[in-house]
Amino acid sequence: MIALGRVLLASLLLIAVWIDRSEPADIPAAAYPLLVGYLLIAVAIAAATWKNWWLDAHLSGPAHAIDIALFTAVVYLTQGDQSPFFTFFVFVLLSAAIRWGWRATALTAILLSLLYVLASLLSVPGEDIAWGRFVARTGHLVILSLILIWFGVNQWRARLNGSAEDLLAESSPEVPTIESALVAAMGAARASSGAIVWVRAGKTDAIVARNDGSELEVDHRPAADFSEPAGGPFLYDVHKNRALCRDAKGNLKTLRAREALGDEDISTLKLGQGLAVPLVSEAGEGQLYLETVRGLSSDHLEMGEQIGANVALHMQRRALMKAAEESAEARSRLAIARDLHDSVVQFLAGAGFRLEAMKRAEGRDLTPELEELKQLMLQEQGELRAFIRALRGGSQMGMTDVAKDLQALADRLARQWHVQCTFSAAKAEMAVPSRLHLDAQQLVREAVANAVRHAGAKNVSIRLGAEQEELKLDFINDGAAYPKTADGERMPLSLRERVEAAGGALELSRGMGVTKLSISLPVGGRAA
Amino acid sequence: MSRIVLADDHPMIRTAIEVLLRDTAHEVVGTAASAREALEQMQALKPDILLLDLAMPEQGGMSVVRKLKSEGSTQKIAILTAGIDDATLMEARTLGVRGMVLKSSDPAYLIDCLDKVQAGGTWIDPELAGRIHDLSETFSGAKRPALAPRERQLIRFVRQGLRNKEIAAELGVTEGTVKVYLHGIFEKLGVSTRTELAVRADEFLAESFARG
Repeated sequence: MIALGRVLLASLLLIAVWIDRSEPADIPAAAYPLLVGYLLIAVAIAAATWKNWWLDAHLSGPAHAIDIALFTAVVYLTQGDQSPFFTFFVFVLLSAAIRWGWRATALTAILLSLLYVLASLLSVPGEDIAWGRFVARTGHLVILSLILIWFGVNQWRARLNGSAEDLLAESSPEVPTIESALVAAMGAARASSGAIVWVRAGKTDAIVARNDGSELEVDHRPAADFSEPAGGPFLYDVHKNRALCRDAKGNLKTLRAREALGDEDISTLKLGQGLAVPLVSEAGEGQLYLETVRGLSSDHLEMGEQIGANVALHMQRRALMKAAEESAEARSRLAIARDLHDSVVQFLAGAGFRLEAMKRAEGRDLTPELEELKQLMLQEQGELRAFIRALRGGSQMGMTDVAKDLQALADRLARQWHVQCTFSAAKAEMAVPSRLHLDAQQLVREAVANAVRHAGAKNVSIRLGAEQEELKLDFINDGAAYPKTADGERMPLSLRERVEAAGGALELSRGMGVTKLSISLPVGGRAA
Repeated sequence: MSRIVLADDHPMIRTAIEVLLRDTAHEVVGTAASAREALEQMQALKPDILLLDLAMPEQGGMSVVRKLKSEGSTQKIAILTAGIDDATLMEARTLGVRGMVLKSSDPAYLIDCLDKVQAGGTWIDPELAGRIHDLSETFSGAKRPALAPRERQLIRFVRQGLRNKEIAAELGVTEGTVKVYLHGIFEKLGVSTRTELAVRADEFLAESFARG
């Protein structure tokens, strides 16, 4: 782009000087061959660097030096402080800002300003200088310099904003992480094909994704087959065995492509020419390869750093999301395991002991015991069916059904603990997730058991309600105050744990000879 | 006739065992539904055998075993549980638990176990005996240094997911002391992160008890 700009500018300057013959004295004859020579050099550079990032990178420094030299020469040759070629200054500074960022822009600006002052003073005797215009133009130089230095600082941020947003956007969990990262990175760099090698932290296999522009293939290979991530982005051309990167000081440094990439990477990923970007995050590490990039040049090295950081962030975030999902699943599995342990396993064990006792009974009438066991089995079966229905439902159930189940449970608990257990439910329209339904069942079991065991209650009143996306359970018992646990709390630990696991809150209060336990459970479940 | 205190938080189990033992040489003289109640009953009733469930609310059954053994109690203990991890299994054996029965095994085992324990012997559920044998074999050639009781306690806290501040409060020491202890444990066991210690806690504890 800069090379083409140089050709256009050189042509324009030459045409303008050639056409404008109104003041031939202002343009000395020496300026013409100078401008013609500059135009030829500009054309040669543009031709040589066309689709060739290697030469583009290597010729950028010499071309910049030629630009500065020409600026100084034309200012010196053409009226110094009043030179019509003053605007050429803008092109030189802009090209420095595009290529190298603010430091090189600042250095170029200082150098050009000094050369402008020097050329002006040398070309025009001191008493002939139009000091007003000279000072004004010098001031313009400084202001322009500051603007272009600012441009140098901000240009990459501005250029990458769109692509960074794509990479940072919440992509659908349905699209695998590697796929979405590769597609977003290709879009950001305007690449038609690309590949990613990604090794998750602590794993020995690499996930390899390759997009040849039409379809995407994902494979798993041993991580040891691939090279370690490079220290920074680099351009590569496998056929010419050339690679280019920036060193710690930002200077361009040449490498051998085959050494930088590794033979296994080249053959497996079918690498040709493109941009390699290392990816490093806590979730893992790897390398991104972007090929068939439109207008590939050394400018892409800076872009590569941004893309690499964004892709690594994307991978990290998806890894965290996955960990959070797994953690939620694990919590859910634990809760179900605990529910089964607390109900089915214990019941079956108890039934086994009862049957063993009957087997050993000699001459005793077993009818009452068998009848009792049958009733217990029927109740347990009912609870198990409710449990399975809630799990199967997978989604939600109405408050009426929840209340019906809890009413049956309260009746059973009353018989089991030999206490008065009353249940009431407020009318409410709310869809209750099955997980919450199971939690409510278990909380009722534990709250009644705690009231009887720890407080010696004879009456327990249970009330179910709903308000503002919360399920409410209130338990009032006429027993003594709960004894303090080891950590000085009066709140029963098993209840506290279950409520906290569900993301809810519980409150214990005592007065008028009764204990009230209020539990609220968010319908949305525990916050991540 | 042996006098038994039965500690299990499930009323169905308590009732069933009371019925089962009704016509045997064992008598349930007291029941408990928590670790605290079990200790109170042991103190008050001085039974011959404590039949103890491990998964009880609040502190769990093993806290009762540790407490009784630390006080030098000679009362016999038998464990009746639905499940037991390797570390707890090896710790129970080390602390001299005389009987271990799984609730999922043949109910007749419970009476066999209580008979044997009452007679002064040891009775271990066949499934648990097999696991103890395998664990002892696995750890017989282990080279890791032995863990001190305080270190084992700290590992249990880490396994429960407690933070240093919470562990310090539990132990009555400063957070700095906990860090020093943890550093020593990391060095001893060759682990580099807290997560690794938590994930492998069962293995480390089981090995420690297997050797202890």
